[in-house]
Amino acid sequence: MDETDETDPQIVGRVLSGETDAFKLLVNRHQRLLYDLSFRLTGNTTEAEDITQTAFVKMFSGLSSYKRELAFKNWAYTITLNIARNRLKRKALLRFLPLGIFSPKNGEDEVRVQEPVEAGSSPDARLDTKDMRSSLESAIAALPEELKTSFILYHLHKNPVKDISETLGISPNAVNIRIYKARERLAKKLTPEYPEYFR
Amino acid sequence: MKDNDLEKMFDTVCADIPLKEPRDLWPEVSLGIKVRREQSRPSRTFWAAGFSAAAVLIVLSIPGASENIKNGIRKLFSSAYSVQLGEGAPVRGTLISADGEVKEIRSGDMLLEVRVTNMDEQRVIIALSVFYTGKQPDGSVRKLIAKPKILAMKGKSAEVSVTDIHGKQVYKLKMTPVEKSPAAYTGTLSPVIPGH
Repeated sequence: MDETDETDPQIVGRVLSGETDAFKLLVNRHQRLLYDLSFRLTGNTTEAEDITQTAFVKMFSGLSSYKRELAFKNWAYTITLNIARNRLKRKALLRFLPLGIFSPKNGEDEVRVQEPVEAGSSPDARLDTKDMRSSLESAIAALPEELKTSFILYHLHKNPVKDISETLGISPNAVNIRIYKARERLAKKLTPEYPEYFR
Repeated sequence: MKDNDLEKMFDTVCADIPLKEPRDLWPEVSLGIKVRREQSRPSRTFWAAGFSAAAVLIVLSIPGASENIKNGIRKLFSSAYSVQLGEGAPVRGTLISADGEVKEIRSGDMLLEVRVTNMDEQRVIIALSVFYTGKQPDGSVRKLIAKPKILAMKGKSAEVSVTDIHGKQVYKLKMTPVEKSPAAYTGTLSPVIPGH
């Protein structure tokens, strides 16, 4: 929960004027979305935490360069995405190293997305909805990174296309195309199994 | 299917997907900010270094000043470690390093750069850079694989793991950083006698 009605630029102003602890408000306000994005990109809770923390430290260090006419959230997304992409590149490199240990063992599958335990779900929750949701999350995780990012920012984080365009540094039209392609791929993959949801 | 229909359909199915909840990240962020500030503190100017050297000379000329000298010496860490590559047998050793000094550990084609930095009375920061030193397709021979950093308690075993893209652990470093006691710093100051 937010402890203040201050806008992000107002908090940034306080931090820059020496109230460094006010940065905690920005962390509390944005950590959930940034962590969720990092987790969905990496599929790893530890990695997602580390990326989000690193991103906040980077934001703090570069706060004086933040342009207040831009939404702080979009700036925060951009920094987090850059860190996550660099990590993914490094991790991808491991696959090409000439060491047997880096290949998955027989029977081990490709991308594994850890599912945190769901708090508060009732025992009588509809299993098919849960199954569909789980399949949808796995299908999102398997999308190419650029489609996945646009889809998550739009459909899961409910950002307008204009903001996503600012975050990704691409035109709104390009964002729409990426979201469209993502939807098409997901629908194609999920319709045979869940026709009642994807018709 | 029309895009509008697809959009509505995904709006509906995604509405049930909750965001992943992190734990409170502020303590780690706050620590990271402190570390970053320490690292970005400007190095001493020539004048400052000169003044400091002069100060040491003055201290040296005062009898009983050995304690002051001792306080100016960088902290030393003696850290027992074990490095494990994949499922291979761990390699063990002891790393002696000064506060903030980078030391290297090699294990096959992997190179670990380890920096142990004093945080406060109880804690240190262990910063690792893991490199692969085999020849790459682009001709380079040193690729940074991971750069984890953790906060560890002095005298307690800490563990840093590096995972691959599948989340599988490929590298593990266990380390117990121990600060050497002031008694471990020994030395003598002998007068130089002209003509000898």
